[in-house]
Amino acid sequence: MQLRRKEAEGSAVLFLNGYLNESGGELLEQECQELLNRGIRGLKLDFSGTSLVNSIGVSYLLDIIEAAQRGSTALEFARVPGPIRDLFELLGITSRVPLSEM
Amino acid sequence: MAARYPRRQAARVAGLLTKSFSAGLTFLEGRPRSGRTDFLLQLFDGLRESAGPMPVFLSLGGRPAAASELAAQAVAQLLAFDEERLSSPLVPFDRARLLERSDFEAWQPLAAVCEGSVLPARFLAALGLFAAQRGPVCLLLDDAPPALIEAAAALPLPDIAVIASGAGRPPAGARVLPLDPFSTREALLLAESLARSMKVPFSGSAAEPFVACIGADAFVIDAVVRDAALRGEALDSANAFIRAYRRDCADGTLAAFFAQRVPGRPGSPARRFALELLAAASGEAPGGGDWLVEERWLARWRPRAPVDEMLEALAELGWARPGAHGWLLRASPAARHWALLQTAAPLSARGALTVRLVSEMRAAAAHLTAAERRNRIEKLLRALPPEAVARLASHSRSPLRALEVVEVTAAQLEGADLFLCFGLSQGVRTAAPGPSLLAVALITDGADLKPLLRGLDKHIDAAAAGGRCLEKWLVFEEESDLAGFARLSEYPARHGQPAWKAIPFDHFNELVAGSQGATGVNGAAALTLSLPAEPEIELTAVRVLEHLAERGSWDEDFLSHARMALVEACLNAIEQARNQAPPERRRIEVRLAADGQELRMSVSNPGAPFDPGEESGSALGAALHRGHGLKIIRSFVDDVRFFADLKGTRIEMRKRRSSGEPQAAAAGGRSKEISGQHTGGQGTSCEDQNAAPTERS
Repeated sequence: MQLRRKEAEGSAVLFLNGYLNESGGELLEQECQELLNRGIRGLKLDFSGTSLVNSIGVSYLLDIIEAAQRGSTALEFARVPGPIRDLFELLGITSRVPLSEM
Repeated sequence: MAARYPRRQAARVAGLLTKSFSAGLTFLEGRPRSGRTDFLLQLFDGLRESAGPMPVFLSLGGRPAAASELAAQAVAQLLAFDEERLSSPLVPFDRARLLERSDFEAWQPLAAVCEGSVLPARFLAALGLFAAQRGPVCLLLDDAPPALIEAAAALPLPDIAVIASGAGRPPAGARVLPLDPFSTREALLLAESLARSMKVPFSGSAAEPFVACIGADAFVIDAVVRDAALRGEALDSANAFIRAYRRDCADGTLAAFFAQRVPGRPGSPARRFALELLAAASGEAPGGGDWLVEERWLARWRPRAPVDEMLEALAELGWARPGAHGWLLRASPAARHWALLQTAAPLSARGALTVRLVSEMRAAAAHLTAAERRNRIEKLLRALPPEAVARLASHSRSPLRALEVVEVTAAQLEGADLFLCFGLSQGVRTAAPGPSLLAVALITDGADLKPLLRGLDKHIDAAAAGGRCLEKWLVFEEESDLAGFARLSEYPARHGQPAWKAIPFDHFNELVAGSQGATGVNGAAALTLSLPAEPEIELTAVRVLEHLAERGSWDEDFLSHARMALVEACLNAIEQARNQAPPERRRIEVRLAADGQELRMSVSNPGAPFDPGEESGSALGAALHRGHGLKIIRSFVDDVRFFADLKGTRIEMRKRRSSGEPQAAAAGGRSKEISGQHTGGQGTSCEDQNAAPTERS
């Protein structure tokens, strides 16, 4: 999985591209943790380029959610494809992180 | 000679001769390359260090008779004993001396006396006279011609003990000393020492009991190969060792070895067939003995024995195994690759998807040996991406039972589903590929690709006018082979046809050994994949599922849910296989079957039984333990069952098609890359991340 970052005014957007599995999750978590450690106010994960997410990837997302909550960073998941949205709903992620289309 | 393993038997015999000298002939019995020379040399050392009879070692090499005058000369030399030097020109030793093959040139006259009825007696008589003057002699004859052995047995030589090895049977009445076989451990130790001396990497470990020793060299080779196989290692290092070692074995040792181990009743057709194959392989294939079984061998034996009987005989040896694509034959236990056996007509007649292989482009392949061509073909087949061939299976319009590979000439391309061109510089001079062409794979050896591909593209385009050519692969061994690949980009992809892709040689065994496609009636499809338990291999299973979806016009939601369940099941299987199965069994099997009513998926793995509630320390295991994986499976399929026994675990999933109208299939028929991107239907397209997402209802 590839990540692309865009930062502006204390917020960041990470564009996920590819398969969010264990290796992708590790990469994502590292990126997020770095941003959180810098104290960003808002973090958006854009899933429009995400083709597939497995349970390990979800585990990393949950860790990111918890880390964002601890750091009081506003976390948002954007442009989540339908099938992945189903997965997030099943695992309760949608109740913990707002989803947006922008 | 490389390292020598100390033989206790040699020390034992030396002690016996020292303690109680016994004249006469003792025939040393042992197969070729069983270590008889080694034994005699060690016996020589033992006698030399003791106060026993004086050893004289003659390495005769079984040479044929020479002229009689040479024999007379030998006798004269033997009798011309120098009192002062205590030696004779023929036997220049003080106490004893080892005579190497290099010394044999001076002893060449002895070869003359070895054949014939009179001369050997004269030689031995002269030696007997010498021994009478100087004390008992132990004459060690290595690889002696039969005539000399017979003569030694016939003459009374009270002061000479002859221990002889050679071809043929021992003379009547002669004592026979059978050579002790190596034990498993001894063979492996010898293999290690041999490898060290040849600077070939090898590490042996006693693994399982071996069959009784046939020959030391063969035993060593067997030990090497079995040990590597049991440890799940590729046989490259073992094969390198064997090739290096085999350079010393110029007498067809391996053929003799394997001939002794062929099962079946003596004279049975299966046994004869196997022996014929082995003899041919040993004679034709240089180096490691890799070879393909060609149709002519089967054709020769077909009238006499069913193919299955022959194949089963080879399977007993472990040289053949039934794969989903037909029989896979390994040329020998030392062979590095599994070769592909062309099955007999009855199997082909079952309507299999046939991969026709162009084995040679004669004019251009003249510079390659047959073994080199075969080796390249084999490598090509190993390079085919698994998901690609699975797709080929799913696209077949004929009833598909198995994927077979046959070896045909260039003229037999018509009707081929997969045209594998053994590409060289002269271009393709064949009939156009048939209209059912699905893919083309071209092996390059670095030759100028442009003229070759120009003609090939034309043929391909003509054949693929119906949109059937889905893949064009340029298979390369070394990066340098791609020197002309840039020119491929000069040929724009035709409408609906893929551009050429360069792919390296890869593991094809998994595909050939495990993938199986079957198409039933009413559009039902079933596929079985045997995949290595490696990271992201679940994507291969997903690809196959997606192709089934295309055939079955599944709606996107159905596919996406099935996809996620399949991924989780695969992850579980991979984890289990990697953690609990021995290296050689780290594979998972995925079965997908779909008809108009439901989708059935099955994922199995070897290893200890999986407990859905068991903890695991890995990330995957942790995820599963959290229940995510199983929750996904249980939520996205209608029925899931777990089966576990000592052999492994299997997850079976069923997902019923909705009772409503099936949704339109996903658009787009382009081949999908391994990167994981795929097109969605009603959902958001993931191929173009810059595109605006489609609002999901």
